[in-house]
Amino acid sequence: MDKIIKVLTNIMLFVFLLLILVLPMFSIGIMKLESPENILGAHNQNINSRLIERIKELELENKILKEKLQE
Amino acid sequence: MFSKILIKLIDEAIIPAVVVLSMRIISIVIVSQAVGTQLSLGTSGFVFTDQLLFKKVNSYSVLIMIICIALGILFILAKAFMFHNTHIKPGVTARLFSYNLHSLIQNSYDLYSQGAIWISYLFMLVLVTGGLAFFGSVYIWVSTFGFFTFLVCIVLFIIDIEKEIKRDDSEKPIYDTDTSFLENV
Repeated sequence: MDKIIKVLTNIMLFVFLLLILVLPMFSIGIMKLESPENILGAHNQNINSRLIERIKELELENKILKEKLQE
Repeated sequence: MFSKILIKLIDEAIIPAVVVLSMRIISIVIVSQAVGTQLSLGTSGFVFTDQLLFKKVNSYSVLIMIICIALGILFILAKAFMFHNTHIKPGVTARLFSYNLHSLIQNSYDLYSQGAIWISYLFMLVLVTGGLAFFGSVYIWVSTFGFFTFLVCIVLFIIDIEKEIKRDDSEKPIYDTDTSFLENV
């Protein structure tokens, strides 16, 4: 039993060592190349979604005001 | 319970990991400023829109990383060649002690574990750079430079290991095969 635990612990240590060795290499992917159209598209999409949310809020306010007026 | 060599290797791997990570970020900032681009930091990292600029900044950033790791390996190799406790000259030992720099004298266990870790980092960086060069994200000469730096480091490391092996050979006891003195007994 002790031997199995020892082997498992050492395997875990080895995996941990491999992770320490490999993880810093992912820092290479910190730089991204994106086309200006994509960035503009994402920007427009962001504005659109915010506008849609605002319209929904205004519609709700309008509805509440109409109900108050009827009362 | 724990394997001593694995613990030692994990211990030695932390410093180069921090060096690689920090040099990547610092080098991107420095090279971008040198090239004259405005860095835009998005959710996925530094975003570039110009492909040529991206390739240039990426290449010089990777080059700086390779040079930093190579400098680390050269420091270890310098310690291995000059201050290795197995083949350090007595004069150098005395001088180091007089300057209170005796911590530079290290044994094979420390030196080879450090060397193995730093060379592993350089090897993986060369692999990644090769892949990036293949896909055109990095200049080919950067990956070639990394590959030759790796080769030089490996060769120098092997030379030191050979010195160590030769030392072991020379220290073997030499027995006198002349048994004539026994004949008179």
